[in-house]
Amino acid sequence: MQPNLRPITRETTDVSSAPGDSNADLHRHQESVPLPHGNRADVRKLSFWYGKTQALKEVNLPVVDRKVTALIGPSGCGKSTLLRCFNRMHDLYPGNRYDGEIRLYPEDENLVAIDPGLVRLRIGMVFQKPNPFPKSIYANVAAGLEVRGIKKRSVLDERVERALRHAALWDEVKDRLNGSAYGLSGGQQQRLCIARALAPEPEMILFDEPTSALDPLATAKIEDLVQQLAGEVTILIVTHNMQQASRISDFTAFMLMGEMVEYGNTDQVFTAPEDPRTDQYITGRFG
Amino acid sequence: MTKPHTLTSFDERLDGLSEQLRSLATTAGTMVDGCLDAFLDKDCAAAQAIIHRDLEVDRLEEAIHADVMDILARLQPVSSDLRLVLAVERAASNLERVGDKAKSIAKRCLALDGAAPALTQDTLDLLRGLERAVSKMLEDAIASLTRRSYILAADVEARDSSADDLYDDLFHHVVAQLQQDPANAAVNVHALFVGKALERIGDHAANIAEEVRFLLRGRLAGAAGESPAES
Repeated sequence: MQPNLRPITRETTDVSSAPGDSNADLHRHQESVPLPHGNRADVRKLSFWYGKTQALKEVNLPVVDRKVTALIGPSGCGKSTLLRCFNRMHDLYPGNRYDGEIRLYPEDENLVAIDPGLVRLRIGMVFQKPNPFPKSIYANVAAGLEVRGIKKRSVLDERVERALRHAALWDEVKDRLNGSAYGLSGGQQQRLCIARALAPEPEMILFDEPTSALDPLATAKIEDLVQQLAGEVTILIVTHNMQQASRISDFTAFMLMGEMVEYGNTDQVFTAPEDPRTDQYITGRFG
Repeated sequence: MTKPHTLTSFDERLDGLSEQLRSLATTAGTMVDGCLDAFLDKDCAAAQAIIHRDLEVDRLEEAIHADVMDILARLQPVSSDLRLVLAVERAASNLERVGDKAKSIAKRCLALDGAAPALTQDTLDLLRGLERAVSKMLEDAIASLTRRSYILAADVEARDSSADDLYDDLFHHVVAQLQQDPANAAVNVHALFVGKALERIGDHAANIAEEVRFLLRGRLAGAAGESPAES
């Protein structure tokens, strides 16, 4: 079921340049990077334990580059646990344990074996509820850049504007960048969080039920944004809303009780899933 | 055994849709069963009843279309539910066309104005053989849907070529009759059109069987990976 995509051309930021150098920081070039099967990442036999409780059981999952992969499944199935493995959030709590690999390409590094700080510099995350910092709109978006050592104002200005434009928020906030992020609506705050995640130009963005706290219009804007972003960044999204998964994702993975039951093209999973458990879940014959 | 939906009204709606299709299939089936006899027996009353029954077929088909639209809009079915709704929708359209063909045959009875068709025994046998074949195909196509039988559906589809062959036999026979007996050309041409209508009923039965295979496997006929194994 793993899609066999041809090697792609990836646009990268030249990270060898000095931070703060606008020309260098903004120097982007086309680099031909062959990715195995077009995957940005591969989860291989990943198991995870919260203390003594096993939450993931030898999970396998390809994450196709610059596509949207949705993780679906009932509460407690392990989808958010899997998502949080990608940016090593579990490392923040004692007693948690990984076994297996998440290979990140093209470097072919095991995400769960390298410095979590480095992982988080490369993989952004957007949470269920908008969580802007108690700062200005500008400062929220610039925060991730400053952590990476980018201080030069002209560079920050350009990157902040670019991220806000990518997050489809620029036109709504360009005249009040120094205003509090808390003055924005819920949907705007969530798009601000997406801009904050986009600003450092991550290789992958993780979305953990990003619209569950939003109204239908704000939800539609986020869904549209996710689809727009997919051409530029690899997206992994956890959602309880199966219509949302079917609308915006290219690939869907169904999890149950810590196991990966089925992975495939979204149209195939939602019209003719291979596993009867997937059919039972997505048709609402579960439990 | 399929588990019930957590939302019980979902099951009720799908059951209701299937029940409507059964009613449509029954009505269209009775039209097919009676149309050839009406034509051959110059039974204009029976023909009128068949023509009138087509209105019921049209009404049932429209009700199914409306129900399908409502289910798609409100329940947003996916996977096997979506395939069931689509299969019922397409089967209903095919059954409506079956009704049209049966009506077309009945109308030829009226066109003969009560005159007994002067057809040869061979022509009669060919027509009756074709009618038996396509009636059985239609009956089995509906049964394959009701019983969710992949094998029966595949069998119905396979029988379509036999029905085509029967029609070809009829065609060649009637063409010969037209040359040998020009005085009865009109009734022989009517018989040919009746045969063509029966052959088309077989096509619609095969289409319904194809929908059953789509329902059970989620792949259209001829798609890669199709194999005639029982579901």
